[in-house]
Amino acid sequence: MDTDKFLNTLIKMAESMQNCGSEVYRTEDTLRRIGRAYRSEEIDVFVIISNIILTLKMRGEEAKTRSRRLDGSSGNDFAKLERLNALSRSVCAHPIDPEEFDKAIEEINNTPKSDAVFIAGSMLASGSFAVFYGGSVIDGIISALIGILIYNMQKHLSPVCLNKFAFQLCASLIAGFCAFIAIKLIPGTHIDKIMIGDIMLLVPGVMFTNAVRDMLLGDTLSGILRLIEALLLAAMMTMGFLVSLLLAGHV
Amino acid sequence: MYKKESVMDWVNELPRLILGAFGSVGFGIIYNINKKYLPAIWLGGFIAWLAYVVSLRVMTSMFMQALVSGFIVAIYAEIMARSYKAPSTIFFVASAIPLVPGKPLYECMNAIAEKNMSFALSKGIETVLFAIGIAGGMGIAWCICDSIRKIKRAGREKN
Repeated sequence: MDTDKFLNTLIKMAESMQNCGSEVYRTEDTLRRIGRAYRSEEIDVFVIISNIILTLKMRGEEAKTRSRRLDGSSGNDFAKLERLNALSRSVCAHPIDPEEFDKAIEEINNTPKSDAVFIAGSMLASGSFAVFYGGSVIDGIISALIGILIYNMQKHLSPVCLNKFAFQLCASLIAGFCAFIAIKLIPGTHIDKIMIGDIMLLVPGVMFTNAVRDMLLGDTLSGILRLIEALLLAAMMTMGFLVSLLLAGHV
Repeated sequence: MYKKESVMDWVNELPRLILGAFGSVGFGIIYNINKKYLPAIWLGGFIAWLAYVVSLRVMTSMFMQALVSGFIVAIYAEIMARSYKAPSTIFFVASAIPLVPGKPLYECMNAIAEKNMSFALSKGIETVLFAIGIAGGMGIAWCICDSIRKIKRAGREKN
């Protein structure tokens, strides 16, 4: 077995898991299990949210280390996580050829996602929370429409933004501004209810829970990094929405 | 007399419970959760808000309300994860969405916009405390579940 190729495969596995919202503990544990299943003498994995370091020592060989810088590790794709989990389980039970393993990971990574489903999800989430917090049906519909906009921004605007904080600021600015225009054009709508629905879409709640989870599972460093990221994202979002609230107060 | 009122309260709360649960499903779709889990997610969102509404009537401390709600959702997620044999994060993350303190955060922002700083501060603290409360509640639940798992495994190894 080619250790170099196997290392690449393992790194790819870790990267894929981190990119679809896995906890650090799960990623490290998965890699250790796979390493053991392939009869490595030693396997050392260290993952923080921005980096993976992997050292592998196969029998009768020198230890080899590979590292990878991670970016954009804040997405959540649980269907992918589940498939990767299932793949690692089957591989641990019956180790397959590393090349086949590599292909299986590629296949999971390249599964296309349909836009329509995600737009429906965004609409459902933002619309129902607007009504949930006491808005009327019209508030819910406006909030859902802004939800579509937020989804499209996440898809098209975030690649051109400097980083995710800049994107968060832009997205909440635009979403807040749309809510502001909507209440000016349509009488009887409530800016607070519309905004709350869209705040729920942008608020880094999952990141916050993942941060706490990482810390509880012993990955204090990753937890702190994620926590600070979540707080910064929340602060950016607050600033963005605040602008349109100030506008609404003055105009 | 009191009982009748509280029954009416519950009836009034029902549409919100159902809606909040649909919000959870919406997030479940955004996070690309397997479709067969969506009913469980709906129920999770329902339970999350129900736990909060019940704790609102039983407890006065907002922190404790958050703690208990977070705890109950986390336990629900662990049970679902066991029965579906899937990672518990999937169930937890989407089910807990109605508990995310979006409303106090908004009120904090609004108070800043209205230059009412003392109200902004109290709402800001409320937001943070609520988030910490949920995190604490789920942390306690995970610790308990993890210990149970380890005790069971130790018992199995002995036999």
